[in-house]
Amino acid sequence: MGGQFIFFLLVLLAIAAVLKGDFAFTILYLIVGTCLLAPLWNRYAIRKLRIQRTFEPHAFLGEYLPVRLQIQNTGILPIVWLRIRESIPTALATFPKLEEVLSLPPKGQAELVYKLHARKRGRYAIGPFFASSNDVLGLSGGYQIEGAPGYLTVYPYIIPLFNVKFPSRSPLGTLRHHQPIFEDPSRVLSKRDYIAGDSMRRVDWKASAVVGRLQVKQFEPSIALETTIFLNLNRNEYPDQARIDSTELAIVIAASLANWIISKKQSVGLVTNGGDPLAADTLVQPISSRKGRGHLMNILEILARVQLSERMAFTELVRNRSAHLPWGTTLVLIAGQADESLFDELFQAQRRGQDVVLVIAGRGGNLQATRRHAHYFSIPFFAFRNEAEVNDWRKLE
Amino acid sequence: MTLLMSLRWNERWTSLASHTLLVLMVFCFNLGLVRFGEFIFPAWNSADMLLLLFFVILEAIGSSRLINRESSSLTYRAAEWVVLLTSVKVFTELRLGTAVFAENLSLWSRDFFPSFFTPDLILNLSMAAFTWAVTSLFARNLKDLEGDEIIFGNTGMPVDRRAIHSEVLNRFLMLGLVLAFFAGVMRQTRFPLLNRPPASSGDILFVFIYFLFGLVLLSLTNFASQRASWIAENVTIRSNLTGPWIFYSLVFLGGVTIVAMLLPTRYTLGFLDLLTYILKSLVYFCQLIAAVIVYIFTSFINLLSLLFGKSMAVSTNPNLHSNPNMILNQPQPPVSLPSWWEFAKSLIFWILFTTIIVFAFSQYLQRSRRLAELFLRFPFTKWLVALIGWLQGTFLRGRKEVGMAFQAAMVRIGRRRTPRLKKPIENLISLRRLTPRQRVLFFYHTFIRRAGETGLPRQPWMTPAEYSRSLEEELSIDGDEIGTITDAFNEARYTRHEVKEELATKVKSTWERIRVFLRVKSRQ
Repeated sequence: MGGQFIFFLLVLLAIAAVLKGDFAFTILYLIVGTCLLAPLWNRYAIRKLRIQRTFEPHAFLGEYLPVRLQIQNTGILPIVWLRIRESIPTALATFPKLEEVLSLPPKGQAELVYKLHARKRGRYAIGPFFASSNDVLGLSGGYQIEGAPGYLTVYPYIIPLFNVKFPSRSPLGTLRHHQPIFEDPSRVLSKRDYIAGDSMRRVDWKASAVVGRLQVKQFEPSIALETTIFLNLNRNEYPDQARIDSTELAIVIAASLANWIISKKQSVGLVTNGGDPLAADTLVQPISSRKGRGHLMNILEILARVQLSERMAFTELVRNRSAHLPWGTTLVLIAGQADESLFDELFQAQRRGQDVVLVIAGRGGNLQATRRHAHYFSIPFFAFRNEAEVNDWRKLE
Repeated sequence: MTLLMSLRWNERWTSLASHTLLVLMVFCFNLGLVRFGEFIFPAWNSADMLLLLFFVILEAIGSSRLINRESSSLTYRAAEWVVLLTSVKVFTELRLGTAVFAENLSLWSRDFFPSFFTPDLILNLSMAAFTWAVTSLFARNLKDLEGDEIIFGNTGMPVDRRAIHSEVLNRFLMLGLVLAFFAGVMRQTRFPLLNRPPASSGDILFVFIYFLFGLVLLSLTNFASQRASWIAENVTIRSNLTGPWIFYSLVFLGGVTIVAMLLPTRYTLGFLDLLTYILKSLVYFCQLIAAVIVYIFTSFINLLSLLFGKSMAVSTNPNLHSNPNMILNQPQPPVSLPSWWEFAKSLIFWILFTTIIVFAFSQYLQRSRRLAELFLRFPFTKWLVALIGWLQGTFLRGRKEVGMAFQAAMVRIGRRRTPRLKKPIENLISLRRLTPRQRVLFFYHTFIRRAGETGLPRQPWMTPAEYSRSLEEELSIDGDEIGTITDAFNEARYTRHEVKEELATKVKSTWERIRVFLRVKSRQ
């Protein structure tokens, strides 16, 4: 195109020179002015473009999430055409692609709205978007700007659990317990007559005055469930054929248990050998036991983005981390299989005064042998081949 | 509105606008053609010719749209030409009156060819044929630019719209050159035989209008080309794109046309004369500054001589009196200088002309890379490119350094100002508006004031540390509150790093504790 214009300008100059036609200069100005100013206009206009993406950065599985792209022309020159392209992860997309051409007047704005479907847990980059434009005559190659991506975390599937029975040795908690050794003095169950040997501390003096004989308070036994979930995400410790399903099931179990424990107002922590795409050393940092919804959200966020890794064996992880956990902590181990070395570590943990629960997720390993070992070490053992089987824990007592 | 409707909407309006622009553009060309005919053939009867050509334009567009290129049989074209020929003949004859037409009609039976193909008819027919051909070609191009639905539905072979856009551009520029040639000839005064006055600027206004409409038409063909690529890539096109496209193209190109028409096209000063004039003006300006400096210096020397008791007789020295003129060598203004307006016009003209030349060269070299590489092999060119690169680099570096120096200066000024409170601290009402540094200073000053009121004033010779020690002895505070507030004050007053919000909060709480002790002390 430029060549055509140059030829035209040369001939026009020749006409101007031969015929001494000064008007030819006006045509020259018009053509050259157009060729120079049209790309300049476009470059200025695109520099004045502001695009903002707004969306909720967290979503639960199955949710539909609206995303708004607000495009604003802050300049005084219009943008004749603007092509907006948004990169969307295929796992979330509800349509083939988002690409639209629109026009923006000076100081004008437009909005593109689309929906994402949270089909799979993970941390997804929404964007970047690309905005490109060119002048009305297509004289330049055009200009393009690229916007930063936003990030969406889709939490793993959470199965609401009701009927979970985990052991604990920590007294003075909020969970009821059948052993009277874990009596909670803040929870008065009933009163009875004093019998010899009762502690004077238990005497309810007001009630004794009313009744006329000594009354003793009876407390409700309770425990505190200090739990740490150990999640095995070592790629090599899952069978090849069921690796993805088993690890995803393990994550779902971990998320569901964390949710259940937090709902019981207990503290929970998470230790995993999975990879964290955000962490510098690519391993997920252990999360210490805490209570509260905010803490649960932290755990879910980690579980949303955690990936398979090969950096640390599960036995090594259990050995390194369980030693630092306090007495009475319940270790919930979620893995694809359990070998003898792992049972050795679990036995050591029991000796340290920690309770251990073993959960096998997926269709890997020799379940019978694992069950036998668990029975031998008196370790509560659960095995789930799929999410439907986890539903057993959903049943109310 | 569905995607398909949006496509139809955009295509329909683009097509309508493109054809309207085509009619206007070719009409402008016809205006030039007829004027040129009148200029060359003064005896030619051009009355109502534009009307005839206008209908020819409409017929050509109509025919191009109605018939299919593949099925355009020779029969239709022959019939079309017979109709055109007859129409032009009837038009040519009827202009002279029905009586003349009837008389000429009778001549056809005797000697058909000479009486039918009169010079007037041949000229009119030539113009009509040219107009028809040009319009048909453009109209065919515009028709080829349609068919968004075919691309969308993938139901046929799409045409290369970029090539068509290029074809339209070629034709537009070629016709523009022809028109420019016509206008150039009409502006000549060197054809005395023609005995025609040269056309005025107003008479050739149609040339600029032709280019304006042509460029807007090009923008629309570009739009059609873009649309095809968008549709092929499944990009959603908003339905309201055509209106803004046409409007902004018209506004932009109209604006450029008006500016181009206002710019000077003549020069009274040649390029070298202009450079000489600019250089002389610069030298004159420098000399003027030098004269002012010399004048100030001699005045200062005279004043100094008064101090030493010498009279101003020095100034009366004829040599000195005459010296400035000799030293300064006052430049003589250029002889017969043009007026400032002529000078400005010449300056603008040469700047624009140089810009055009540089632009053309840069475009040419950018597009033919091999030639550019060959060009760069010559030592002189290498040196020239290196020089340009050095100048560019120096300019960019200089700009960056100046910018950095300016920023640094602004930061320094800001730092100097920050610790100082513009108003007396006591008069400040809202602590929230103060920066953490200012808040630390505020609490320390309040502390000194209150301590002074309690009977423990700070002596002018005391440093903050000395004052702190004396207060600690007087107040006998267990903690290190006074040390804390003094250290915080020293940090806020004498350091440049940012004072954190936590420090200001800490100083506030420290001051509140000290206040209790001061209150106790004042009660005692």
